[in-house]
Amino acid sequence: MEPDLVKSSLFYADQRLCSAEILSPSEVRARIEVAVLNFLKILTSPTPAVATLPLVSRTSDNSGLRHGLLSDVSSVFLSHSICTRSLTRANDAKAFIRVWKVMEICFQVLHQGKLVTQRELFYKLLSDSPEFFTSQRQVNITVQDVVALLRCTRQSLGIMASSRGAIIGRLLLQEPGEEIIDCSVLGQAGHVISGDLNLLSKLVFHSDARYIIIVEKDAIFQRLAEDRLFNQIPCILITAKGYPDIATRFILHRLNQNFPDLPVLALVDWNPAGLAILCTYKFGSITMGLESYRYACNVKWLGLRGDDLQLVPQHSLVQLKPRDLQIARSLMSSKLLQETYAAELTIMVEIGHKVEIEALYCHGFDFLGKYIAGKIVQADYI
Amino acid sequence: MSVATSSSARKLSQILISSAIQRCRLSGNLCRLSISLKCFHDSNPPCVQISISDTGVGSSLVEFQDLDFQSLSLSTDNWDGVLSITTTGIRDKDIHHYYLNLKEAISSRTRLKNLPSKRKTMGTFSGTEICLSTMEEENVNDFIAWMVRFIRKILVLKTPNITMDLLVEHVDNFGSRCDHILQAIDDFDLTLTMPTIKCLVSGLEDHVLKHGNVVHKQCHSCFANRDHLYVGSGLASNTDNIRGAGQVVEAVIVIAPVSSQPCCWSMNCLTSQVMYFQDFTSCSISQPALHALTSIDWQNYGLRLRGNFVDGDDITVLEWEDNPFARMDIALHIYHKIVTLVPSRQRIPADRKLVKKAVKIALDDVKAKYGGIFLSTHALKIRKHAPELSRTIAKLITSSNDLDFQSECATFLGLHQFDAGREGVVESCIREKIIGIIETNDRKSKAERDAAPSLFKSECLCEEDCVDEENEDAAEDVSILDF
Repeated sequence: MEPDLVKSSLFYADQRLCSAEILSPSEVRARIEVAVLNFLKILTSPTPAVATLPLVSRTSDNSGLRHGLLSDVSSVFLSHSICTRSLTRANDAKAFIRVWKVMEICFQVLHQGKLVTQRELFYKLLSDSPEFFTSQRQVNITVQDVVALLRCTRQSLGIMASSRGAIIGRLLLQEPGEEIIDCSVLGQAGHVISGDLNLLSKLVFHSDARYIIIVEKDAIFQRLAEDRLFNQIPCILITAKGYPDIATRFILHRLNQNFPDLPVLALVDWNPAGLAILCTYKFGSITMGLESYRYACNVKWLGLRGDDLQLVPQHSLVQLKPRDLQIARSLMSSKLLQETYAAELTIMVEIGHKVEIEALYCHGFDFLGKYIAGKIVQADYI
Repeated sequence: MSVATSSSARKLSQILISSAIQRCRLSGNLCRLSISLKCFHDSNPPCVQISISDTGVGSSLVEFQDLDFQSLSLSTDNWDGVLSITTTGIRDKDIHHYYLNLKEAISSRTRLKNLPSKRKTMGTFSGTEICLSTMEEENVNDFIAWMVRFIRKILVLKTPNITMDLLVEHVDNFGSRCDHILQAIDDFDLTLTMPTIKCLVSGLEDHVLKHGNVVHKQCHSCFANRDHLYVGSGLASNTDNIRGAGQVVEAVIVIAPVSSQPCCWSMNCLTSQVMYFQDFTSCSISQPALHALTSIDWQNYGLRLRGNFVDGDDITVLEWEDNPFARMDIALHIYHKIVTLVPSRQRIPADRKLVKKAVKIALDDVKAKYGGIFLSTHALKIRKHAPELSRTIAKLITSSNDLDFQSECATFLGLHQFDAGREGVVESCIREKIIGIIETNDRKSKAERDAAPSLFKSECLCEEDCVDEENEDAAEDVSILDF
């Protein structure tokens, strides 16, 4: 009986979940064609109208936390609430048309069998329709609108993520038909993570690492790479150089799937933004909620944490800025923050200060490696 | 207002012509209203004998009972203040004659002097003639010109049962000569039973075609005929049960579209004249009516009102920020359903709400009759984007290599199959339809407008409008405030 109960609960949770499908180019083009046909049908009906666009709502009201029952992975998901974009509503006309314009470019891109980055998309749209697209941010939002309309992943639209992430350590990567890349002998910049999720999905991994360590900042990643931390502690280091992009999360998820016994640990600054970054790796995001739930991982917080404040000099504590407090408030009010994390956040806000990982360098540049090793040995992560 | 406009002769002429019109209306028959000016040029200042006569009902003098110098702020120079009144009712056997001295106080017993009446010897008739002599007007020609303009304004009403004419006689040392300045209107397409609002429409059209009555005949370089004008009218009324006299407001709007061969009158004009009439005579606009006009939400009709002023002819002019047509002129007529001869101060003031209602009905009338006119500012903004949207969707259709898909699109659009791949044809077809929908929607209520169907059917019942995040402070890639 139990397995059935479990299954039915999973099924119930999944029924609430709204997902973007991974589709082939021809499937996506077919969806776009259906969109055009529906538009024309309504345009030329006996009561003609310009159809509104039903987009899955990407707001916290439409979000929830989905607890893995068979695994310890929880993820943010979006449910079925719709928000509509309409030509005839004041101030929405341009946003409405932007969705169609991005669909049109994706249609072309898919036809040509290409993949473009969001940056390239922005420049193309800027030159074709400068009246409608004035910033990269607008393009990114519109792309998410198209994802929410057609319910297919961003990559399925022919748009790839930027390649921001890097990976280094005890890992052998192999693209099918290509040479094996040994990530333990690379320079301190590590191996650049491709933005092409398709390519990443075909990678074959071999590793003797015992841990996967996510590093928030590039500078710390390079320091640890130069110090060859992974030779002292058998590990894989991975960074997105800031806020995690889908490609980095994807490869992390794949590593996690391939090597389920490897704890995934995060090394972030002790500030609300650092915790937000950790949470994104852990649960996903709302903005890309239709697809990001797939790549949630059980990430543990290694450091910096409140207990480590005794290790840093007083002058390395920096006052929290209004934006930090905004992020803290946002995190506190979300449904997904576990108690231990909330406690850390509370201390941050109470003392009104934050600390960067670099503060540990006061003990020497090699202290960081020792610090990490010590924490790992003591299994001091939450 | 210039000093000359406020001269006693002009003020009184307006009042006397107005009461003559009421008497004509009361009679219910076809009446004549004649104004004659006899100008004696050999005196200095010149003397003008003004005579206003009508064939309406006889006067019981009630309409003059509260006229006096003080209440009208008349000047006492160059005029003896005496009105010579001759009047008879249809059943009267006698023709009565009076002198009414406006310089005397209203309560004075010497104000009205009864003169011997004359027996009616022939025929059954009624009518009134009022004469006064004044030496107020230093420039007689100015006065004549003013009188002509005043009467021409009244003629815009085209009141079917009243014909008006103006006769001017100049007398000097060399003799006299007569000019018929205005003759009876020659509009035989108007009948006695035609509703007043239709007469007003016709009158305002004529006014526009004749360039505001500046030219004698209609200008053929602007429009071949009145069919090129956009016309709308609105009527609003109430019933005032207490006094038994309801008020009617008629509003007429005539628009001259931008012409391919514009002349000075029809070039894109940022002003609109408001011809204002009260009880079948022309007068300056009342405050409630002006307030009604300025409080209309003109943005609903794609217009932005900049201000208003009164021109030298006592006509109110509305100023616009911009104007998509050559000219727009408005006529407002407020009158009481029941004609009475009451002293002027007892007149009920214009009802602001009624005026606003009538003007809006007229504006909506134009909007409904002529597609694309008076599109609200909101609709104009959206319509500007229609070409881009159409182009985008046309590109989606024509760039597809799926011929079945293109064929289906062509079927929906009512195009030939071979046109399905021609971007220009597809684009203009879609654009036409989108613009048509925008224009039709603009005439609907907001609720109806917002009920457009969704592109895809969704299972979810909870639908909201998307909130647009224009906040540029958010992080570039994904907002860190996701949680």
